[in-house]
Amino acid sequence: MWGVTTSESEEHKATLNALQTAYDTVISIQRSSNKDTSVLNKCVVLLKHDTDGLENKNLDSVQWTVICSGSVTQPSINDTNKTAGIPPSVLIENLETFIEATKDKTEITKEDIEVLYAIDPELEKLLEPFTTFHPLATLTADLKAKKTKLQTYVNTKLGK
Amino acid sequence: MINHVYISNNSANKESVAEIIFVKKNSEEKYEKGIEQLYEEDNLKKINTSGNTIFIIDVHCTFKGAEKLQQQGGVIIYRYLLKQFEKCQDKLKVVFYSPVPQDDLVKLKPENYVLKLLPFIECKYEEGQFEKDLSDEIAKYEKEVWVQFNNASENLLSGWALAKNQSVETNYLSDEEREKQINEQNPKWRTIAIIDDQLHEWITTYKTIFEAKTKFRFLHYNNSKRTKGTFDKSKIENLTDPKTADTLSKQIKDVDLVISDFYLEEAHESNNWMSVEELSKKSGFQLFETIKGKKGERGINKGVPYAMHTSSNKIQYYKFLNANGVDNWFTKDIRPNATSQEKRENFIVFKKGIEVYTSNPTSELYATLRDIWKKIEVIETWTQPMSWWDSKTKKPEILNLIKNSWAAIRSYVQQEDYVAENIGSIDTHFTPASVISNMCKILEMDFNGAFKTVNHCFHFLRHIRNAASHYDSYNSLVMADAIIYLEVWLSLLQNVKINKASKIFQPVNGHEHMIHVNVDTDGNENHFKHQLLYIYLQYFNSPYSKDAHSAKMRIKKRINDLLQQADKVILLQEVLNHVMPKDRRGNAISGAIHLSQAIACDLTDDATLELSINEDKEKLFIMND
Repeated sequence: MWGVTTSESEEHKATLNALQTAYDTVISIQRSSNKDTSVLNKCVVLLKHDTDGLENKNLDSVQWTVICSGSVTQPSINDTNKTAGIPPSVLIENLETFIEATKDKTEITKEDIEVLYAIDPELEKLLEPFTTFHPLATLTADLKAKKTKLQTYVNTKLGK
Repeated sequence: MINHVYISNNSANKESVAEIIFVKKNSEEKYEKGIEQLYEEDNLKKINTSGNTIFIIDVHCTFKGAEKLQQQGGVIIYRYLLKQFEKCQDKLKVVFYSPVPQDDLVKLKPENYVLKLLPFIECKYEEGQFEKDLSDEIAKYEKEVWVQFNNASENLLSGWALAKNQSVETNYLSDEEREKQINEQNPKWRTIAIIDDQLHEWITTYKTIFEAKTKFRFLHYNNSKRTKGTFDKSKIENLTDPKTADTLSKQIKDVDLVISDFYLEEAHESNNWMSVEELSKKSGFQLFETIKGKKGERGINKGVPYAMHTSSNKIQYYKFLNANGVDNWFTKDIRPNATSQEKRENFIVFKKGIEVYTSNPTSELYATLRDIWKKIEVIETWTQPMSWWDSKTKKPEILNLIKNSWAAIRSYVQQEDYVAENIGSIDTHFTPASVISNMCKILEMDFNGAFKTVNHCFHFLRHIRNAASHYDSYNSLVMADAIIYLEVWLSLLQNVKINKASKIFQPVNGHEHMIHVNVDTDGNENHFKHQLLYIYLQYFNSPYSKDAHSAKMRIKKRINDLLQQADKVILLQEVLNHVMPKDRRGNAISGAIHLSQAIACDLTDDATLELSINEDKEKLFIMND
């Protein structure tokens, strides 16, 4: 789920590149005419969430470390922080649409993020006047008209 | 004194006693805190839970994590209120409001289906409208009862809505019924008993997510009655029909499925891991034993499928209950922040799991097994010899064989097919053949003259047993055959009209009947390719099957299935060219009837014609269409 934003895409590219390097090295040793397969017995690919604790490991092996990012506590992607993570609350179908729309892009747009959260900007705009109005406050003249406009839009959106 | 607390994004109003306000914290219009932090640190966790407060919530509250109005953050707040009121949901009183009608809000965000079921005011922005509607709504629910949920029941409801309102189906349609016009179909509706100490928090969810015609029996375990903390079956009250003062036995004995909570008396799931001994003392397990019985105690409804619906997700507990006969385990997701994906998946698991016992073809097997168990119990209760076989010496052995067969079929039905598939051993024939072989040990017992002269029924039992015992025929048997076989045996064992073993297999007027199998010129029995079909037809058409009513219904279906699968060319050849059996002198055996007459009617040797079953005077015959 992580790594579909710009920075994390790069992170995943790096992850995949590191895995590719490890794989190529193993294959080249195997295919070499003068192969020393003993080294393969000591090959280790570490897939780690972060780099913490790596310095404490004294592994007697040929080692590739692949750092995988992503955490449920990291900030969620939004209009102002387009490089943050995607929260697990996002529905898979929305995520699929989002990935399809962004796979060839270098930068994620506001519209892409709206797709991800199934946010309708027009509906948001039409709801805005009511959120600053307390139901017990004195009515203003234009609220009823704004509600009619909102309802008309909702009806159209829902195919009524 | 009732307090009104408004939860909204905007500033305080002097008419409200208290307010919880979510505002944007700084000039960059970024929220400082998300709902979880607000719950932990701020007002939400300090709320009075005495029942004197009515929360009036703006559906469109915003905060960190729900920054858009259409994310309907007010419902997220409601979920944290549910958590705060988890031990007193009857005290939580909520009214939502929005400029958008509640039906539309739910269509825009299906996971918030709860909005449709809770008190709601659509703001019309007309003078006095909100105040009047609020007053009416509160008066209405104060007079009736405030709708109750808890986090788990709301999550399940939400998952159902996210799964596009696919109801949990509780009716079974047989193949025959499916072929009828919809308005002529007669489905079997299952009755489901729900037992929970927090039942009031579940009823609305269950009624919404199950098919509308579902036959519920809501049984509330009232743990405030009598001795607190001690399981007592008399604490169960029938909410479906509160006027009934029936015992638990009467409430449970005819249901098709029991769904029960595990912690009826105890505090819910703790972090401690319980031992098997501790688990066996839990109220949910004691209720299970009361209903399903245990060693030395019969129980109320031993054959009924039993599922636990509990907040526990500890797999060792399930292993313990599974070993004791609990059929399934559904987890109540009690988190206020469960994701939409998780809620949907949890609902799908629940739906598919329940339908095994209510609407899938397996549900009919469970229903059959439940009825069969009741027959076994009747036989077991006989205190003196009642039937031809009921001697003190043989009774325990015969009951043991029958019970083992029942248990084997029950295990077979319960097992997950894909496990067998994964190891490359699809158990379609092995268990049915084993069950039949097992029951046939009764035929080996000495019944003092029972097998001197034998009729069609005996031949039927012997031939099916032979089919189960040989490698070239056992794989034609399926679970339907094992159930038929068990039912035929039970009809014989239940026969109290005959009290002498020597009479049970006696042919009418002493005239021996036989079931035809393929006999070669040397008198050796060989197998017809469609032998099972012929055996069933001959037994069905004999007078000796008349007492096995439920087995006959099943045999009829099995005959049709076998005919559909048959190789027409071979079948015609076998039936039309049947070699009549002869005695040692080469004479035709008395009473033998050619297969083309015993099981067929005007059958012609034309494989281009379809074969079908014709019923005439309660007998079945193969014919060409």
